[in-house]
Amino acid sequence: MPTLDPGALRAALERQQSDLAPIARVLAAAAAHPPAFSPGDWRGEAADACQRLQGDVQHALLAADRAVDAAARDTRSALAELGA
Amino acid sequence: MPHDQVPPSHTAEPGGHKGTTPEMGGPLLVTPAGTTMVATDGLHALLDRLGALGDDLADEGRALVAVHGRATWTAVPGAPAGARRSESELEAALSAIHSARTLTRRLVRALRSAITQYDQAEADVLARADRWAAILGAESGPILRAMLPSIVMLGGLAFLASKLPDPGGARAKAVRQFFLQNPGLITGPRFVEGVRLFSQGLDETTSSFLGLPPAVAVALGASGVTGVRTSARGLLAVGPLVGLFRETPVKVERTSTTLISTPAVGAAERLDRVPEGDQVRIEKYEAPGEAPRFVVYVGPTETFSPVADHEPWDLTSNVGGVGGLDVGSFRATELAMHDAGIGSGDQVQFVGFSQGGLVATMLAGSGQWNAAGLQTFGAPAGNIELPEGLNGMAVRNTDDFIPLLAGPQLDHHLLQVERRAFSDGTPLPTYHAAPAHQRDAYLATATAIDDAASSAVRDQNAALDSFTADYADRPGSTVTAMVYHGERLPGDQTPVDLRGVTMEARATSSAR
Repeated sequence: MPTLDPGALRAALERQQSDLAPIARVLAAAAAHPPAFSPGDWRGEAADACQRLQGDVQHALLAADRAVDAAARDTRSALAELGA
Repeated sequence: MPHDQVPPSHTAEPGGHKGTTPEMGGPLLVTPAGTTMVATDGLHALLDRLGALGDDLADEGRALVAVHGRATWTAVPGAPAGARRSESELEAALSAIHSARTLTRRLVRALRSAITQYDQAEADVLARADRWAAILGAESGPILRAMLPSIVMLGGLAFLASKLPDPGGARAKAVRQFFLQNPGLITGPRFVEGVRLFSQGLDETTSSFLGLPPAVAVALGASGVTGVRTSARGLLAVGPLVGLFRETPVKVERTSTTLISTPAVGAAERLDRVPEGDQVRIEKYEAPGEAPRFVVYVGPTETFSPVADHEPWDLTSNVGGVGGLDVGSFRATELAMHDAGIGSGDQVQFVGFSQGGLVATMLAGSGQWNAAGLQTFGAPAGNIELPEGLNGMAVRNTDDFIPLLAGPQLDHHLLQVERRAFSDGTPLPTYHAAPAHQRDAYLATATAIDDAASSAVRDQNAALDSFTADYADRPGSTVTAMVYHGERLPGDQTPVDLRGVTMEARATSSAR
């Protein structure tokens, strides 16, 4: 990337911030309410295996949510740095 | 014509259960049309959500790739530290989204495979039980023939006993009381399984009784030459010799015509509009500039007497309907449909409970009407073929043996929804001998259907709703409800034309 003047840098970071916002919303919702079956629906060995996979999906969703959240936070802090 | 007054149908309030509640039963078991994949509504809903999550992750992953492509901050001299950190966090997010997508796909596959394997195991167990029932039936002929004199003698004694004076109907009351006090005898999965096996082995038993070798009896049953339909027709062939199961002409009379303003919404409201006493209710939906649409509600069995008297919704129609014949209740419903002005091209939605469900399924599968939708509750109609693309569902309580009298479910062109009305440990109500077949037990199941979470159930329920709501919501639309009463006529009686709408359909023994 070529050297950017502060105005272009700010514009690029603002775009990154606005692009991340809807992604963060979707991932936060998915991580907060991940699809899961109730133990009342299904029991047994296969259910246990699926429940473990379900847990893995939930962890991956949380990781994605946290990473996007952190990227958004750091984008904000970068903008603050530019403004200071 | 009275306006805005709902014509007489069943008097129960939607959702008002006399003997059972949705909480007393089990989860909904759902088999989407075109599949044999049985799973709970909850699992189908989970698959829906996982599918939607996979789509979301794909969309957000693509969006994030674009953001990341522009965020090469480490290569930008003078970029703020926060911007540089965000670049590596975006990489971590991309990797996590990729993992989540992969794991979601794996979970969907695992769920589908577990459901399929479970269903296969279940089907194998049922098939083994069916084979044993067939073999047992095929071997039972000689024993039954040897027992024939005793059976005839017992039957004769029972017949004579039934002719003895029974002041106040004490004997009938005692029998009824016995079943009321022991509702568990004929309610529950074990009895239902017994009925299924009995109906499965009946043909082999009959063939064997008639003297066919066991191998031939089994082969005939397996090839489909014999079946529940054949057994029912056999009963109808023999019954009339002793005055039972004799088909008659029928007539119908329109008992009311009412303008109404609201269509039924949801399964519980549709079931609530299924009439009793007057057996058929037809709603005509008219919207300006459109061809009319109709909903035909068909009522349940009114009498279980095997002697065909005045009532077409009787045991004769049940047995003949299972046998695939043009029975009294079927012909009476068609007469009502003609009277309501339903043409063969008009779109019709059929709704029926018990025998009404059987008649509704016969009508939808007849090819004589433009069936747009079908919803049945507790119908012994699993052996009737239906056209593809029909909206709606067949609803059965798994502890209700009546639907199994038509044999196992063969047609899969319609969504199948099952539910146990009374879970293990739930006290059975004692107001009826077969509580799982009663309207309130099906209302509880219908309420669970209206609360279903899976798209498989929700989409079909919504399609049935929109069939009527689409017209009823338009300016200038009208909805007319017509209620009909059907009666059997003695074979020799000339039909009487009542108020210009009574008609007659001659008894036939033709297969549909």
